[in-house]
Amino acid sequence: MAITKETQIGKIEVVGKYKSVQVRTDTVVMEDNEELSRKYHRHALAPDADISNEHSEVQAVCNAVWTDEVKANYEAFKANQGN
Amino acid sequence: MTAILKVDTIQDVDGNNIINENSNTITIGASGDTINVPSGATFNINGTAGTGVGTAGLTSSGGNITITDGNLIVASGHGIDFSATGDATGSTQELLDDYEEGTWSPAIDGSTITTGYYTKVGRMCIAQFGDATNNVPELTNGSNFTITGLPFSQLASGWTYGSTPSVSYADASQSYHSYPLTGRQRNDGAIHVANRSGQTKVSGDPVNLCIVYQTN
Repeated sequence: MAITKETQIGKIEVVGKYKSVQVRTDTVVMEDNEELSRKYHRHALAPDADISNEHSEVQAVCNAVWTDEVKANYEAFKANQGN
Repeated sequence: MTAILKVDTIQDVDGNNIINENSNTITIGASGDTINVPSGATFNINGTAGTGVGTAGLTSSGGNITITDGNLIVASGHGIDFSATGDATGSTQELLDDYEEGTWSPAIDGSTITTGYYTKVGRMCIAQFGDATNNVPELTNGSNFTITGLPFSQLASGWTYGSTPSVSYADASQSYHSYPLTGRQRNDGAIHVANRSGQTKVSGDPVNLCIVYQTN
């Protein structure tokens, strides 16, 4: 009976007008290939986020959807709204 | 040559109806009977097939369906539709299409401090954390810090959907007397927390935060 624990990119979602990327990281505990438990950890990335430490799959999605136009629109949105 | 047997009713040897057709209504069995679909058989409903379809763990009575052992599994993009209910003026959505629990990593001014927890129901997210370590820095009266790392992005419509978190710290030197901190959610989703308590929150004083906000 081998018990293993691994993390997986469970879900990558692109949401909203400014293409926020929501990432669900799953921690999965398995026993002999049977899943015993699965826990979710979440974070969200806006178009101005530093993605250098993100999983390669997440980086690929961010780079695909965060076009120069999307980034510019998001910066304009923030500047217009103020913080 | 194909032989066709035309009957309205098939009965067992005791005269009980097995199959009966009357005015486009086909009745299988009778009250008190058990109709079995053997394991491995395919049972189609509206063209949808399932192998070994049965009703184990599922009962219905008086218009109610009860799942006695198992979960109701909803496909992505679907949910529970409440559109048949009365609506308040201005309502825009009546499909409950998400529920999720998990953790998030709150960061103060860019440094991760602890593990937070969230529950998402529909598009509403409740996120909270508590930390009593030196990871939460000193916050003098009149100063502020920014918390990032929320589990879901804020509905990106500017201030309209910004939320006010409930946040406080406990002064360890005064028997953990609690002081409120003021906070607001910025238009980029980050949480701005300011200390206007008149006291200094020193490093290590416990901080607790809870925020309810709208997601995309």
